[in-house]
Amino acid sequence: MRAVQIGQLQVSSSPGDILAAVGLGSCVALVVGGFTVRRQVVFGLAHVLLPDSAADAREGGADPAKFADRAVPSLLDELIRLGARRTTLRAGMVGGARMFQFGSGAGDIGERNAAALARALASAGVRLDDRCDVGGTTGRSVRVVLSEGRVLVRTSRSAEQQLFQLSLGPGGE
Amino acid sequence: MTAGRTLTENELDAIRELANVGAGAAATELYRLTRREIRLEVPHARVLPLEDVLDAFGPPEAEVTAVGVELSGGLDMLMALLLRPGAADEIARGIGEAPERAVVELAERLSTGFAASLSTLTHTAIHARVAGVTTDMLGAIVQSITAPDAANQSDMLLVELSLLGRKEALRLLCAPRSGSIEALLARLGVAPGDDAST
Repeated sequence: MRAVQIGQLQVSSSPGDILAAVGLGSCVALVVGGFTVRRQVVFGLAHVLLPDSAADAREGGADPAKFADRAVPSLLDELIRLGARRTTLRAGMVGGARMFQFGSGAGDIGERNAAALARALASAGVRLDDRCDVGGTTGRSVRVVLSEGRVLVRTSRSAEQQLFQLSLGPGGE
Repeated sequence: MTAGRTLTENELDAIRELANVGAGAAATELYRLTRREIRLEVPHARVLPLEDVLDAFGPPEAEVTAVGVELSGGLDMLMALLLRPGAADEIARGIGEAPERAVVELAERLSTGFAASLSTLTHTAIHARVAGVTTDMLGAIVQSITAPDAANQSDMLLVELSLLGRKEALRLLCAPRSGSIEALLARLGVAPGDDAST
């Protein structure tokens, strides 16, 4: 299992790989999956901490997925570099909880993360539809099982459930 | 804008000392509440790369009961009081309250004692507010107190205090806002970059 840490992103086309982001609170895991021209499954996962890079003067740096507005183009670039066809890409989001009622803008970071990612995906033309498990007050973990094209989510209070699955059959895009 | 958190060893030592004072007051409150023996450990003050934060305090999916606390005024800081599973029930039995209420009362007393001791030491008003209680994944808790201050830095200062009772294991994780802790240190005469060792 390849754990994706805060602010990091990983992509893979190896069928044996499992990408994971665990212990998500206000962070949001952005999962984007699709196919190469040979119909090989590719997935990417970005562990996003904050909505907006405006407060950060640095470009990119060591944490390419720290901000939602930078994470989306970075992840899409990596997927396309790996051979993904842009028209096949589908996105999902997990996390964005409000664990505590902190004041002064600290409490609603999760909601703002999810909203910023949705905006960035829309402007990049990647479909999100209803592949989301965001908000609420519980932490989450997400696993992406490449061999099955499946994205699975669990909370501390519920067993693992499927968020979405890429259709691996013929014409399943 | 800062690329990383740059604190000297001198500043980190001063932060540990501040944490020690706060922990002593918190332990006194804990003893008053539970009437049990309290054992304090030396506080850990660490500057961690963002990507290492999630695993630094234990398995991210481990279940803990946590109370969020916000300090404001002379020190802006988010804190999480962490209790291992079952500890909330034990404390509740000890003080004769429902578990959630007992944990909130514990957090109120500890954080108020913590804030009051630092207020006295630094001659500045520091207020504590409990921001909720939850039982959830450790990683989700740690990340939620860390995120608000991560916008313009890639390294995070986190201070860990352990208050060990006879059976309970209580930890306080503290994420001071950058700028705020430095200002507090300045009040104590610890100047930025004032370090003989680095």
